[in-house]
Amino acid sequence: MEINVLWLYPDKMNLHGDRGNMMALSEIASAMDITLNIKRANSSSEVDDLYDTDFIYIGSGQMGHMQTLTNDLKKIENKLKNYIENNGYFLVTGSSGCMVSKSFTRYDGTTANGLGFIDMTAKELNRTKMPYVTKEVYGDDILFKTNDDMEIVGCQIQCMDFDLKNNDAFGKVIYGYGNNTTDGKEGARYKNLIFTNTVGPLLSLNPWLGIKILSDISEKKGVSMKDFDENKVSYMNYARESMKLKKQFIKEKFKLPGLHSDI
Amino acid sequence: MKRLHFLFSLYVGKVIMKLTKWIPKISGSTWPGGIASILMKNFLKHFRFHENTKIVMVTGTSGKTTTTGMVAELIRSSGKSICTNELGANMDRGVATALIGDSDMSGRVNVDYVVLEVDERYLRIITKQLKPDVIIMTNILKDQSQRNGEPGIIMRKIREAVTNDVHLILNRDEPNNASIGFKHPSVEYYGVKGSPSYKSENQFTVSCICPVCSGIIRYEYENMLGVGKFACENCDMKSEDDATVVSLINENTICVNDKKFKAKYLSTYFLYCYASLIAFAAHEGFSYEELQTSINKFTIQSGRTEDLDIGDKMIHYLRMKQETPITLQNSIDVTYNDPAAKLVVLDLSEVVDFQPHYTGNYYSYDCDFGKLEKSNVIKYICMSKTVCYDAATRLILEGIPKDKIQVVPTDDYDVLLKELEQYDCKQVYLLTWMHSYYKCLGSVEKYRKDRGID
Repeated sequence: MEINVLWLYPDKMNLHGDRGNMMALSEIASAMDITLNIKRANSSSEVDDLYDTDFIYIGSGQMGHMQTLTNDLKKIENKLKNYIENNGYFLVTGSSGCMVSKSFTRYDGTTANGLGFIDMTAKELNRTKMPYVTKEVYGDDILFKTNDDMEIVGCQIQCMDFDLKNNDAFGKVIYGYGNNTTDGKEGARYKNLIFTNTVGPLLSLNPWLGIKILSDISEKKGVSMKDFDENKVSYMNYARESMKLKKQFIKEKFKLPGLHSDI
Repeated sequence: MKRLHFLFSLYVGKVIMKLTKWIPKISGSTWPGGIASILMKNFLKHFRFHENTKIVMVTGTSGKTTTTGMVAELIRSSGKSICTNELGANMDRGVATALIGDSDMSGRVNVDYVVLEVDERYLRIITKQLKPDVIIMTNILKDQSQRNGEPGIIMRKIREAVTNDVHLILNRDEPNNASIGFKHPSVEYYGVKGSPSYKSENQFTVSCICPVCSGIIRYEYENMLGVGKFACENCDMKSEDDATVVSLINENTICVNDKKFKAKYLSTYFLYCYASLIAFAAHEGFSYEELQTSINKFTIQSGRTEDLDIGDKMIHYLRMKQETPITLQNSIDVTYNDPAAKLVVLDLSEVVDFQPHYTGNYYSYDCDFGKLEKSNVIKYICMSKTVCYDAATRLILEGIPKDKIQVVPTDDYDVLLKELEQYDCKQVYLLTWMHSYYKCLGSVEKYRKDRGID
């Protein structure tokens, strides 16, 4: 079976080693006997009608480029909207969340419109709410549980706060900053559009999420993956062991006052 | 009144400097400048200089300390006087401490040159008080994400510090750095001549974004990760051809145009430092002989590589800085360049900078581990009590066979040395950060003593 992936802005949005997600998805697909066709597009002009696309990915990028790239995506806004409304999988990680939100405000107060796929606003940090850290950024581990009870571990390099309005979160924070430290929410989900603050190789640390996504896409294509043995993924055992070590590390580490922690 | 306030703060700083000289643990610290700066806001602003004194600042992600040391050596060996913080205390307190040490009782610094290494985040704070004549920049790369967030934030801060009357000496081969000079009235560039080197190219290989137009940067060659001759696909941004470009001629000679220099440190990292030094020397009118003498005299303070003999094996330590992919890639490149059979120990460790410590090792995905598989690695050993499995996953995703990877979930280097005993392989490459190296050093000393190794 074949699954078609559209990797948006591979050369432009790879701030925190986000390409690792494509490497991990490819490895997972191979274990599931799926042929993953990855199409790279650094401009909306390289994107086709999306009828054959099964999965879209955008990694994290630098704030100074967000408006230009959002404007570029606006040229294919309707295609993307139809894709999302038809339950197409779309993963957005890190700072790119502001592109799919309604609006984002920069450090200097200027505000730009996002694509509005998620009822959410973003605000670049001028001063984080956390004490003892540098002004514009908060970096830490994050551990959260998705709404379908999947545990996800990773890191956040947070340069903005997200405020979810009338939209579900992707998960509930167990430890970490999440969208904004205050509401305990992490990321956002609208149909199969997933946004998470977790930067870098989310799917290498959490292959179970990649398996879930590819299984769902397979089901949609009429191929059941119910009997797939997760242990076939070459690094599954490493990911499980890593999760244990990180939970232990998070449990024992110094926690800043005011940070969400239920561990 | 302000002058009196300044003189009082200066004298307090000088007294602290005298006192701390006798306390080994804090001797050479930034206490004098730190306390003087607490006593007086904008303390640096009140130092006085001779009208011919030149203030030079060196900033950037990596290479600051080496470049500052080279520039300082040039000035010293040319018989000129200098005030510098070349030992690396590069924030406002370190700069204040250097000036306190070299000023007279009236706060006058009577030198030909003030040469300051300045942390890139502090450049705008320091330049508000002390006006530089020349700024040398090394590069602006992904570095310490937990502090810096992204290079764009650092560039924003640097731009605030760069006024039109400052002469800039910039690395032409690093897009962020080169873009600082875009439309600046007084700028010159330096670079290093290279050639396309081996890089694993596959569907996951990525380039980077143009800091000017959000287009794509394409490299003709990369001398280091993200540093090489480049051009933007979309706008005029490119490595300037009109630049001081260093070429490596042989194992002890470098050259710029038709001028050859004998040099002892010849890795790409040092070639960039030499290039900036030569550009600075030309700008300031130093002679060829003065330049060559200073290059001969310059010695690095501490190595980025160390060799540890444990009897039947030699551990080659290659220093990397966490969250800074270029340093990890440099370590990979050095390992790759040795064709001998080898063990590779990868200890990425959790990030211990300030609280909260965290397990971020995402920066390893910016590096090319694939080339290691073409360099005769017998076994990869991933150690760390928190991120050893992440490192192993990183290697698997680069196509390295699982049976060549050994995971050792510990930070204990006694355990690692025991582990190494099972391999009949002389060369061991250890890729880790400074703190883990010191742990390793302690274990090696114990290991050698226990086994009676001289």
